[in-house]
Amino acid sequence: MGRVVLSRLSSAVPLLLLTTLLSFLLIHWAPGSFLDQLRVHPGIPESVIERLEERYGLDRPWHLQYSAWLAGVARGDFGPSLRFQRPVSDLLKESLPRTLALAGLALVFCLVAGTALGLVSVRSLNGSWDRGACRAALALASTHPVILALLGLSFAAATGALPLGGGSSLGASSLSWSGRAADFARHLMLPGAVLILVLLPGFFLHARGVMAEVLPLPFVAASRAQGLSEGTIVLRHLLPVTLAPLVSYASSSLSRVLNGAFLVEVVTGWPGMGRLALVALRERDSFLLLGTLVVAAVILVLGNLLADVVLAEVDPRIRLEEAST
Amino acid sequence: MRAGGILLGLLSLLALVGPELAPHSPVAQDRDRIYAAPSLSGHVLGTDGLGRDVLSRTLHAARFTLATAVSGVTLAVLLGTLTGVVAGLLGGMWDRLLMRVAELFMALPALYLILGLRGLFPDAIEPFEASLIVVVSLAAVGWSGVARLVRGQVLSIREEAYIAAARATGASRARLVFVHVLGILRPFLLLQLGLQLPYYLLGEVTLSFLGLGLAEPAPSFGNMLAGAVVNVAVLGRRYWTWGPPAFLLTLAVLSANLWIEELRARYFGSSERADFESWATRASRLWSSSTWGSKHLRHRAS
Repeated sequence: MGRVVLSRLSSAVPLLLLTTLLSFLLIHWAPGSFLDQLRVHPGIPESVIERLEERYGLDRPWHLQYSAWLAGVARGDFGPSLRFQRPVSDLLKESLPRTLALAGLALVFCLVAGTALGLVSVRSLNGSWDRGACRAALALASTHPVILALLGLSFAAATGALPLGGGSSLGASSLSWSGRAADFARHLMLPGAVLILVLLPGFFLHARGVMAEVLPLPFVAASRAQGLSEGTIVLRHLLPVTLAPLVSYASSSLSRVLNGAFLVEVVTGWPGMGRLALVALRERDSFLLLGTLVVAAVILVLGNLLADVVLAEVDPRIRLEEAST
Repeated sequence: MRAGGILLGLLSLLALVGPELAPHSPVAQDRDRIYAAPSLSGHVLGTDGLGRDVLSRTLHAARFTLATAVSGVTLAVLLGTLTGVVAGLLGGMWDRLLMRVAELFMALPALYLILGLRGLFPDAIEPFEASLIVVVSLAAVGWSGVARLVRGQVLSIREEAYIAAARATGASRARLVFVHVLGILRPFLLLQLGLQLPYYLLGEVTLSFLGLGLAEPAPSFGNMLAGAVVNVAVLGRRYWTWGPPAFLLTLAVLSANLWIEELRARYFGSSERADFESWATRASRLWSSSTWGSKHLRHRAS
């Protein structure tokens, strides 16, 4: 396992460094900055803006800015947010757990529920349940996440059962630890449900496809001939074989998960990293935008690394291949 | 069953001629009829918060979405093909370099990457500039996947005997690339265009929704949906402001997805695997190994 982690890390680190450089240059070359917006303001004298420029090091050449920023990141300092007048790392510390909670819970739920639904579907392939489920999945997958979120939002508004937007209630900080957790869960309910609806069709269809390929294989018939119960066949023989493709699907859909979480956050008002990134872009808050970009890339790379480790655990062939190289 | 293809054709036709049939201007404001409910006598699908006709806006938005999605996917496949063919044919350092760049683009989550890219362009006001920006943004995200697929195809094609035969008969380099490699790849590339269209339809709406695409007052599905988010009261009671674009978009993407299924059934036979998401990768694998592909190759070789 250590070998897998090492070999993946050795290619992930340069990739991440390149990613930061690319993001930095994109934002650096972009016309218009936060300070340009201040320049237009007639009440702010030029000297103030020059002082700000000096304080944030924005008057230096780009490679110096980049290396200073990178050195800061190594210490956990992502620079200042010009829009919020707070360190970017503080803002990320608040919003990242919320995005991870939303995306992580939805991902795990979809992996489990998608596999279970796929199993049900595949037991009577092309039966009425299977056909209905496939059509529903196709329809759901064809609906834009924003439309799903709008439908969820109007449902919540009509029934009044769930809070509309926000990550916590007004007086949440005075609640006990368990009260705060319950409040958090209540607020997570709507965005979580929408994100699950966005992701579930893909997971279901994939699980169904994988199992439909495995089910006609001789070893399943052999297990049945041995007199094993259906439950044992599924748990001991079918699932281990299908686990590897399911995990690799989950890792390849990480980008989709982050995109979905982004849109769901924006529509349902869940105060996560996606909302922060959008504000940063609109206000030209360069350090904040850079921070969210890099953190999102790190999530993707670490997620893929985790998936590789899990894959090596569940699939001996990958382990052997890794050991022989 | 060819319902998907027919429906997609009809919707495309609607998007093409729809704006000419629109009863009102999409930007004209009827100040006396704000949030007017749908009625057969006045505004058929009602009006939005500025008194603009929802039907006319939806029809205009459909044309914009279709045009940008089709141009976006075409540009992405063109860029991806160019990179993939260059990487696959030149090999060595160029191959490694280009594939690293492609990986870099795949390492960034698409939406965050688009946010970064969007900053490069001024806040466009002209609809034409806005659509160009959307097309470029979508293609910038999409080209890398195509490039990897095409490179894989090129790597296997260049080992084929008929390439060696063409070389031996003194075929020029251009002939090798355009006739023997790209010619063989043509059905594969056309398939890629179709396969990715739904994602580009959705992607265009995402951009406009986030305010990164076509800006108000010009109509787009994205900013019509965004209008509903501003006010939760609009959502339920004024469903007609966002319902029609939502319905039309879902119908279009659904028919595109059905069309893909039909294409697959036609070219690859009916398979039990219905996961259309990883379909692109599987199609490429199938294509290179299927009898269809090799028959095609043999035909070309003889």
